Amino acid sequence: MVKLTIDGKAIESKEGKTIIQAASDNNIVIPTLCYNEELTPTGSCRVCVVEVIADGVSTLVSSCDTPVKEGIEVYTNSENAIKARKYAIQMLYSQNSEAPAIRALAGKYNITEKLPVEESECIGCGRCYKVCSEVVERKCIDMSVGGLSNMNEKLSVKWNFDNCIACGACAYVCPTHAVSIHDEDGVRTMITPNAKHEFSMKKCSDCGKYYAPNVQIEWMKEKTGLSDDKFDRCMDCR
Amino acid sequence: MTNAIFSTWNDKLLDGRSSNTTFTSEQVGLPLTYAEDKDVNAIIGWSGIVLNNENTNIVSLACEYVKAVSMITCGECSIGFHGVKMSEDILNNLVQGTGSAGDADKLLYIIENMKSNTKCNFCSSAMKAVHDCLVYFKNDFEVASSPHEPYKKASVIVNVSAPCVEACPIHQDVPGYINLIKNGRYDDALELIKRNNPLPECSGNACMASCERNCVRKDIDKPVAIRALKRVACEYGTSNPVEPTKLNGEKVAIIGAGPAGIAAAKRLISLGYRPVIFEMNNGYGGMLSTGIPEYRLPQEIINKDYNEIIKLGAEFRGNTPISQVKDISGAYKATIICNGATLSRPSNIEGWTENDNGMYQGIHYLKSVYNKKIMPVSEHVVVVGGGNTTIDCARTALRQGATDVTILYRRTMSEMPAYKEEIDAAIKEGIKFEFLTIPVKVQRGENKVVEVVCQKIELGEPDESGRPRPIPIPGTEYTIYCDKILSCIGELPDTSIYGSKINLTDDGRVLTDKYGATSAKGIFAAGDCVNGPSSMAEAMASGKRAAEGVDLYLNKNSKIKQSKQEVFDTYHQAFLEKNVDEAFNFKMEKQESPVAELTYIRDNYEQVEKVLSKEQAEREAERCIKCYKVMMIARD
Repeated sequence: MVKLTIDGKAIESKEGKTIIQAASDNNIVIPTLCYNEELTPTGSCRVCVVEVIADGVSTLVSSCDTPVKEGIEVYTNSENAIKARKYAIQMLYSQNSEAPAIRALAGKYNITEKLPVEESECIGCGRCYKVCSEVVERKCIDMSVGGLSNMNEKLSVKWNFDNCIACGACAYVCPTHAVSIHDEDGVRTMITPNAKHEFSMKKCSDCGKYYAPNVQIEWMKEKTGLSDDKFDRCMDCR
Repeated sequence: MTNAIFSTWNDKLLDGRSSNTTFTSEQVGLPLTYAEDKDVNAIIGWSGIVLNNENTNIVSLACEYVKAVSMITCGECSIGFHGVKMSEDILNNLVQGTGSAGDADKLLYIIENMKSNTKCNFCSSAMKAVHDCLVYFKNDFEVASSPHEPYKKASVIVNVSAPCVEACPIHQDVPGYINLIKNGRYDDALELIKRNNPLPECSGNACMASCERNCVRKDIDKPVAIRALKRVACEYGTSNPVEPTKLNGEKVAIIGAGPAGIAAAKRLISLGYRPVIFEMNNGYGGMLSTGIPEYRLPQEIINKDYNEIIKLGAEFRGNTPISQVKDISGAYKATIICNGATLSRPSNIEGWTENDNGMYQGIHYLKSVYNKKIMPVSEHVVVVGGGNTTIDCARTALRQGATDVTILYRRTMSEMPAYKEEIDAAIKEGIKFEFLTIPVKVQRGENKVVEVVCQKIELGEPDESGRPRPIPIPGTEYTIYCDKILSCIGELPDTSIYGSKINLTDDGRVLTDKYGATSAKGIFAAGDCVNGPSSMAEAMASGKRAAEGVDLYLNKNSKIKQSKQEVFDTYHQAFLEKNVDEAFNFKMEKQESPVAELTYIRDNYEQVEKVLSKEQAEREAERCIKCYKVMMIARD
């Protein structure tokens, strides 16, 4: 166990936990946007920034991806933390001032002024990338391959639809609704920040309703090893 | 202008503008000229700004610098990505004369906010220099915000590197290909690796990985498994098929088909020349084949890399030993000698007889095994030395049927130059180590070695290599029974082929300039014959540089950018240093490469280290923290 304090409260936490987990275990709420308990942290939105004092040195860190350490003092609402958090929220608000989750944060921290950045629905938080690789295990989303030799492709979330099973997990976790799915006339359409793709759906052999994309059913067959006839009917008719 | 008038490098403020004082390179902590005497107007990079010429346009300089930074930002957090982008826009307006009052304040606001809360260190540390500009040259930015004619674009040389990239002799973009692997893009990763690595397969399997030794993650938990990830890219990636290139240039002779020779060949092809490689062995690889045992680097892997370069347009003449360089150099406009370091340093053990039954030089032993020459089976083998050849010999002796193998090394395990993983593998295979021990005398029985007399050592003050000097302790002699002894105490080039016109160093290596040119006109040299026994990567870098030297020599319109290279060489040390605060980084478990479980060892040359799975590789790639650094030099 690791001993630390959060906002002056002495707590104990398991080694390996992050500051935000330790805080949450002790009913201390740290505001976040990109953080999702089910996924490993992306640390991209920077809203969960807190001030940490370790060995007399003060640092600002994102609490979602910083592990607890013995003897540190964490301040979730110090002047420095609030200042940094406000800027992080201002950055989000400047990109997308329509998304309810961002509006709520901006409202709470009185952010009204925008920075001169390009507006876009996607704020590059990386949740879609994480859910696709960690939960669905399809890895069909590429994220931000910046760097020395890859200069022309960055802050882009790209879908590789060849590998996609149109499950919609990315749309489900997106905090700004920049990814969405729509079912109509036997076609599931996925709309992502820079592309649109259509998937044909399977008809229920009993009621005739289109109930799931064909690629997804193929994937389920492969995963379960069950025979084709087990997937002929929709959930209601099964 | 060899001194600086202003500097914020390494958090040290030196400001001589009002008092007209200047500061030396030592005070600043950075070289202030490059290529010994070429002037630099200003240096701007991850640690601050240094001004040598007071008339440098700071706004224009900052603008060019942020353009370079913006090309490297990854976009994993919007504060960094958009922060740099916004700064670039504002600076561009200031340079063009289309800025407005308050721009400097806006810029300061953005940069100050980036300083404390970006996901990684890159953007925040890169932008520190711009912050320094804004604070100490405030007036310049205010002047720039009123309408004016566009400023002249600063003439600059940009270098982007990272501690791992800089430690790699061929400067592979390590974080670049690791990031591609992270996203499962193996084909792209392989293409990227191949851009400046002629032997991706060989280095993925057997590179000494100085990158890993300088990986910033080393101080957090363990270095990223960079070499294993390169092998992953080769294993799971497919690169575009190679097409023979149409070459019209001069033919250039290369002596030796080791890594230096083949790297020179590939670079020559890319410059339009037709390389002809003369090799004394039948097959490809040089020291890669004869010096690295099969269980570490199988010949088929070497062939895969080599076949590609041969297909590109290199001519290979095997079984063609060159007895005198001048025999062939006359027929070619240029010749590159890459004959390696193939001779052993003479052993000074009493009773040592060269090539006598039971006494062998390590590299000759390995070469005999490579040539499938039958070596007498020995029961008890002693190997002398502490480098990679020692371990290779010891593990090979086990595979050749030895019942026990003992390594004698004069210092302790921590001073051994051999790779740690190799030492561990040797221990696992049951090889014994006698540290702080030297052999002093070989005793012979009838037709064979019967024992070796050893003496214990104590370690003294560091010698010129920086390692503690071994001092024999009198009266500590003892004997070890053995029937074979292998000496691996270093290698030297075979100088007998050079002739009198090629100058050598005191210790018998070929003397060259930075581009491999020797004292003889049109004759270049690269690899171990220049550097002494070194790594595959060093050899490749050296071969590539010599090929560029050939182009500078033969082509008066050469496109080789010497001054850029000079700047890179000058600031090499600064780039090697770490710039990441490791205190608050997550520990992440390292993915270890699987190893073959050898059920028997004799005659078993199966490759011991296996490749990581895709799942492991992608998880391992997540551990890279991308420690890129940008530096820009402004000159006239």
